[in-house]
Amino acid sequence: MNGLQKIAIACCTAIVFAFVFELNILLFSSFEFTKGVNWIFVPSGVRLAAVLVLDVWGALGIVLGSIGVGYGQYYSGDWINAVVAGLLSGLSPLLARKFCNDFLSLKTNLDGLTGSSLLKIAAAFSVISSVMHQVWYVIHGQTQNFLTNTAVMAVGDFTGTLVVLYAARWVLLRGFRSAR
Amino acid sequence: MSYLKFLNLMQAVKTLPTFPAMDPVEEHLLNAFAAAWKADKDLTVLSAMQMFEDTSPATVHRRLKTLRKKGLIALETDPVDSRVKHIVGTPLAQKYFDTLDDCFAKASE
Repeated sequence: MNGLQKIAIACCTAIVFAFVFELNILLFSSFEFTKGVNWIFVPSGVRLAAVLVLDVWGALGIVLGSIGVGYGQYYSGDWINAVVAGLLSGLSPLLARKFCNDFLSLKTNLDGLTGSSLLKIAAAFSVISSVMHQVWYVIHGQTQNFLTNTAVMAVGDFTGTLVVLYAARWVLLRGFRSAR
Repeated sequence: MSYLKFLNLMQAVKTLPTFPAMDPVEEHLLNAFAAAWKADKDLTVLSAMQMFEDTSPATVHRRLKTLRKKGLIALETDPVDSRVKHIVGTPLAQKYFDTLDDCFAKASE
């Protein structure tokens, strides 16, 4: 893969992530616990797939998409907060993947990955990402309820990932079958 | 490399754990099989295909495959004639009937 293809992959990931993020705001805004913390966060499923399949370039796309949506929806006028939150969105899954490589026997090429191990990896991604985000929010003085917000964000990330994974499962097992 | 990872991820997605939901035909078959197991009747694939007047043998055969895939029945090869397959219940099927039994007991209280 040449440099241009990698940049194209990052840009496509950013567009898909931003689109799903906006869709999540549109569909599940009633499930918002506090600003930026939702009980259902579907983009986390896209984040998981992008980082598992596309590695650093997928993570870069997540960073770009997250900065774009975050600046527009949550941090208008606050570039620093938008950039840091975006960086955390992209870097936390990379860290989570490293954790899964080391402790959950996740192979870099995803060889031997099963459905149940994918759920464990999704849970690890959700916890690590939410902890990193909430640590930044505490440092930035945006939240006082670290534990509650971290728990809700982790649940939201996990439920969002489940929505994506089981929708993909349905398409793979039922959608294609009915198309035939 | 990315494509290989994508294929592995899709393969994992296909094996995500789910609750085995049965359609009415599968439920009908499993109930009849449970009655046969309870009465210690020998239940083979061939006898199962012929035991339902309201369901064609082809449909029974297809549903046997789906019930097996859902982990509710298992097939054991006959030790004498390897062409004969015996249908046996699985622990999941036992759990299913135990749950129904509990529900029935609660409802009748």
